[in-house]
Amino acid sequence: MGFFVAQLISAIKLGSIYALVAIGYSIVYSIMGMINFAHGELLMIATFALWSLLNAGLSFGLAVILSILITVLFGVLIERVAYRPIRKAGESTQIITSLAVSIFLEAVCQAIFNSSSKALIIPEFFSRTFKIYGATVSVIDVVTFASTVILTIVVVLILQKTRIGKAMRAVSDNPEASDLVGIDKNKVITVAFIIGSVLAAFAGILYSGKYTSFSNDMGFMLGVKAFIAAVLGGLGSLTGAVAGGYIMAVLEVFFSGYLPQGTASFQTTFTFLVLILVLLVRPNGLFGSNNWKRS
Amino acid sequence: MKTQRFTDNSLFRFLMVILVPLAIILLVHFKAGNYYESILILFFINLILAASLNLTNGITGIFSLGQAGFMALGAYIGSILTLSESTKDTMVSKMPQWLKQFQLPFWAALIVAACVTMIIAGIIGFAILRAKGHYLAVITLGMVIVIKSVLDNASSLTNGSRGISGMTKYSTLPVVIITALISLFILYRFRTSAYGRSMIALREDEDAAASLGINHRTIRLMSFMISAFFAAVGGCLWAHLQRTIAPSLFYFDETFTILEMSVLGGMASLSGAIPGAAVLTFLPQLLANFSTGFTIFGIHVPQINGLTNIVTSVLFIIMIIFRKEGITGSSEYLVGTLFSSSTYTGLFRKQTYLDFAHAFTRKNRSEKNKGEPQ
Amino acid sequence: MLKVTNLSISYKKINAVRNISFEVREGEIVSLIGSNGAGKTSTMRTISGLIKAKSGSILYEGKELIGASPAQIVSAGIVHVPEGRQVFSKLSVGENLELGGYLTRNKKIRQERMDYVFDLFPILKERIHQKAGSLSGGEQQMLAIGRARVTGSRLLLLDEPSLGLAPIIVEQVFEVIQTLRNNGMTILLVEQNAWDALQICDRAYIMESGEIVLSGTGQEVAENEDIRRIYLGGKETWVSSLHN
Repeated sequence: MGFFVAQLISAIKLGSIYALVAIGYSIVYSIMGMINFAHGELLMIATFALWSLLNAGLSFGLAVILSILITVLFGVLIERVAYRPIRKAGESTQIITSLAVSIFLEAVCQAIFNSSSKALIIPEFFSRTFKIYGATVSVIDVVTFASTVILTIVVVLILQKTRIGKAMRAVSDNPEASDLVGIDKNKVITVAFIIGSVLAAFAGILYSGKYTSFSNDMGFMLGVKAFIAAVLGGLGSLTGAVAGGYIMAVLEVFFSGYLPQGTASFQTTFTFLVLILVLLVRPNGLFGSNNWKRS
Repeated sequence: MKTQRFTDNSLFRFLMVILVPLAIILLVHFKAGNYYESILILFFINLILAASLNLTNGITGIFSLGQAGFMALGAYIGSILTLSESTKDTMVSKMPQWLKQFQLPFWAALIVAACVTMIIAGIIGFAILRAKGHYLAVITLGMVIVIKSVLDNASSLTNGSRGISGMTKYSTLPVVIITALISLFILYRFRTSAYGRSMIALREDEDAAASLGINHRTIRLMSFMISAFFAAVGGCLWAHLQRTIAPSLFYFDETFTILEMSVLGGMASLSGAIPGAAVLTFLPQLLANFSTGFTIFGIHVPQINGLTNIVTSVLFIIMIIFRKEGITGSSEYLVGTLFSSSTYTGLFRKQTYLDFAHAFTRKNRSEKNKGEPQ
Repeated sequence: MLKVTNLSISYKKINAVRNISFEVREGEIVSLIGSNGAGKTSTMRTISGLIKAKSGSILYEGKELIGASPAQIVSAGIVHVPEGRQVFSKLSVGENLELGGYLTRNKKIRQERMDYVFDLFPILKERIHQKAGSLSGGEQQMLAIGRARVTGSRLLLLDEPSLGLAPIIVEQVFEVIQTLRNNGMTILLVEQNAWDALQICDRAYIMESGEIVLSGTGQEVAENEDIRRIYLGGKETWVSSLHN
């Protein structure tokens, strides 16, 4: 029992990170029709910003807020500089450009901070632990899950209730018709990047806070996995992004926990095989109705 | 008189595309040291890898990021086949006995590795090729992750993340040049065949191609498999140049390097692989001299980590902004010159030499005119 | 109100429209009539800013519209209902109408306009929470026109509103167009259904391969022998019987 609960808890905290990143992919994809391969690098930016600010002696709360702002700034800047000029270009140009941005950011980060892995020192409070059904849980695990729930609800509310949120859904539904009612696409895309960046910043900080060590290549792999989670759930579906994130994490964690001795290390292989199988059966993902609504 | 572009002149083509490079190769081979020769070998291997990616990404329009994975398969299968029983016994002791004893000469190993990889690519492609665009890009990237994970963990075959080493250096300059020429020739013939033309039709307009009776699934799968075949050839050669391989060498970095070569050179043509591979092979070597810090105009620039990555990614971005189609675009001038008979038969015609000489005198005259005040 | 002068449009390297000039005056219904590919839709899309003109000028109440973004054109007071009833199919009917008022930040004004639309199309009020994609073709066309009305624009560009609708619904749509005009809207109508369009319009322009070949009042154009032969031909008999 204890082992199962422990597995479940680690799946939930990993899944929360995937879900936060996957929502960002999903929002940008449904509005621009492109995958931002550099999205994962936003996690890296948030983490390195926080690490630098803490090293500079700022208080933890202030450093977190500032690093989120810095991440948002980068997110918006990337869209402005790299993606706006190629918005109407073909898919392969978009893939190449966002990969180039990703490589560039990682390389610059390596040049500034070098590629050795670093440790994030978070306040002692977050690493306090307690027991649930015999499994150890730390405060940051609870914070990770709670942040994901709260942020997801906030995103849903923005999309359902606010003027800009409705405009975002309109653009993703019918770009031309949204032009014709006077929706400014640039503004909608900027807001999509702001939301994606905030979520990515949280994901980056929570991830590095949990695993305490990080390096400049932390973002890409996480990004690819979260993206696959978003595809699994159904790109463009918010429910899908969240569900996909948790399913991905459950598969990964439980494969490594429960596969027989000798095959457990193949967890990544098995996870991807399951995902490919799912996509063969349901090419649009599990919740792929391309809908923001939870239906 | 029929006007002919000077660059179409057979003599010019022969000189620039065949003779000059040949001279450089011979010079490096006989005069320069081992270091330069191995860079040149690397260039020809990269050339094969970039050309193999161009076939899918640029010519058929299947955007794959999986080349590093196929390269890894080629490298591993090839190496296991060429290593001697005693080497395998000490390094990968858990390997099945029959495989330990199984040893092939290099050329046979190269072909077997490429064929096995092609079959694996066929199975993978059958499953994933219904995806397109962004989806396919990510799924093929996922494939690279899976292949690395398998190589990392199937330690009874691969020695895990420590990798295998001790291969003989079969990838000498003549070997890689011959292999690169044969590879380019096959790819070029394939591109100019009816199949190749259907691939281009498929890239341009899928619906129209389908209405012409082109079976897009077959064509896409075929292109994916052939591409994997040559990626494996490149990987196998690479393994027998470096003589030591590990799963982590065939991961995202290698994926991007191949993609950068392909995009910089020009994805839409096989010829693009030549300048692409040249830039991405020689530039990092050049930059390596600066990576420990240097002084320019009296200002000392300190050591920059990952300078190569920064320079290549900036180059990459500049290229996308200003010349999206890459250095060669869709022109097959380079590869076409290499393999078309007119280049060689033209050398036996008097007119070729007259045109060539004529172009020079005309050029000189116009330069003279420019110099004189009106 | 709207004055188009020497407008040329290239679309995918083809000259879709060559040097056309026409005018829409306040309170009029003006039809652009022509066969498929005559350049009517390109003209409409250029006026609403979706595609760029090659040369010429489009003046709306004295202001040049060439180079303005679709959003600027909507806020200037021109709204375009494109061909094929482009509603936000995954959003509710209410949200669709609300988005019509995207640039109208004043909630009260927006609500007044929505109420007007609900008066015009009571069916939309019944279906306010339904997804727009679940409506019938005719209802979607009404929603698209209603959404355009909520923008508060005074010039309505209607592209093929009768396309693919049952004859009885077509009749309703043409009635709505007249009602809108009577309530102060100016309408530029593109139609292949030439007969119906000529019946309700004040003036009409005939387009052929990117050029305007004939213009006049709806009556004059309808009586032109060539036009009768080419555009009204076989249709005349059954369409007119429907109207009488």
